[in-house]
Amino acid sequence: MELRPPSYFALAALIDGPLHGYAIMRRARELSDGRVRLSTGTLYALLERAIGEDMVTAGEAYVQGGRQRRDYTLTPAGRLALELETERMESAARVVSARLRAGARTTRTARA
Amino acid sequence: MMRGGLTRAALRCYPPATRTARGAEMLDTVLEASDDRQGMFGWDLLSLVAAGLGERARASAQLSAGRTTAEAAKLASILYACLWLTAGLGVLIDRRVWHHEIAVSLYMVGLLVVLLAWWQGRQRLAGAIGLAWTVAMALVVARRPDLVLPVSIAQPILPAVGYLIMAIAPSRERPSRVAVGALVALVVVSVFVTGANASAFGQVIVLVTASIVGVAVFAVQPRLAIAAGIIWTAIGIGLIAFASTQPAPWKLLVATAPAVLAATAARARVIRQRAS
Repeated sequence: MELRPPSYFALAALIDGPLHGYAIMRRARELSDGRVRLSTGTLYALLERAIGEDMVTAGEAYVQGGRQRRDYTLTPAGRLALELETERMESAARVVSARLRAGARTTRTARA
Repeated sequence: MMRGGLTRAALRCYPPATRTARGAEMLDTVLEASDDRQGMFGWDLLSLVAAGLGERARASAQLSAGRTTAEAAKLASILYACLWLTAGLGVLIDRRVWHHEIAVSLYMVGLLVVLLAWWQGRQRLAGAIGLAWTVAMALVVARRPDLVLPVSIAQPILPAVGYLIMAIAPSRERPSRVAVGALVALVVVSVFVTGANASAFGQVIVLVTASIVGVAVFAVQPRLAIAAGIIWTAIGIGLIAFASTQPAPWKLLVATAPAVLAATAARARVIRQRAS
């Protein structure tokens, strides 16, 4: 199953341990070099879906600093989905970069 | 404070169950994000509205076609009661017969009891009284030679099915206060805008407004569009029963409910495909 960038980076944000909603948004932005800026609606929609697919579990609600929070944890199934997606992207990148190198060599030979 | 209010308003787009489970957490996440990320608050609100409506649409698409149709039929019978209530109020304002015309008063009381029972989630009671009201109306109409009998008998058939479903398969779901308030306001405004002696025009305003709103919210919740379609079909059935003087195109109204049901089935297929 292909993961889109928001889902990919939201799940990747949980690799190092459980995080609450806003911490996931910040971590996903850091990991993607600012390319993925999750809005709250998008975050909770994809968390809901990830929970439904057993990729993430939601902890109990608690209050910290006057704010209601809940920690989300990556499950083994979620980690596997991340690994598969990473391999898929690496494999696709290898194929494309090999073709680009071959294309560049052909162009140089033709010019010569 | 204002941000909290706006966020709570946006969260109302989510189904009640989601708001209960995660509403407070989502509210605090939006507020925390807006403290850190200047200029993103509006974007966050829009995302909540879109995600909330999307969740409602997915929830409504999960219901079986039979359940969706049954719930819409119930709503159609309530809409039908509102149409008759509009007409009755128009008559009462016109003739000022509150104390003299027992038949009109009973007719109004019956409709009000149906609507109040529905509002309170007492669907079995609303359905039973609605059915009794429909039969009583048919008997009254049968004794009035000045009314067009086939039309008057044929039109209530579909709404009566809605009352029957309420009576034999009631659900405990209570209508939202917003929906009830909007319906009451629509009836009152229609009666007073059109004024006395124009109750039919008031009914048209109620039905057309409900149809427009139904089409507007169709993507999220098709129930109102189907309900309005059932009423238009009921009118079409009435016109067919009175075939001699009505032009043929109006009889096509009978196809409204089947067309809306077909669109609803297509919508559910698309939403399920996107979700899988």
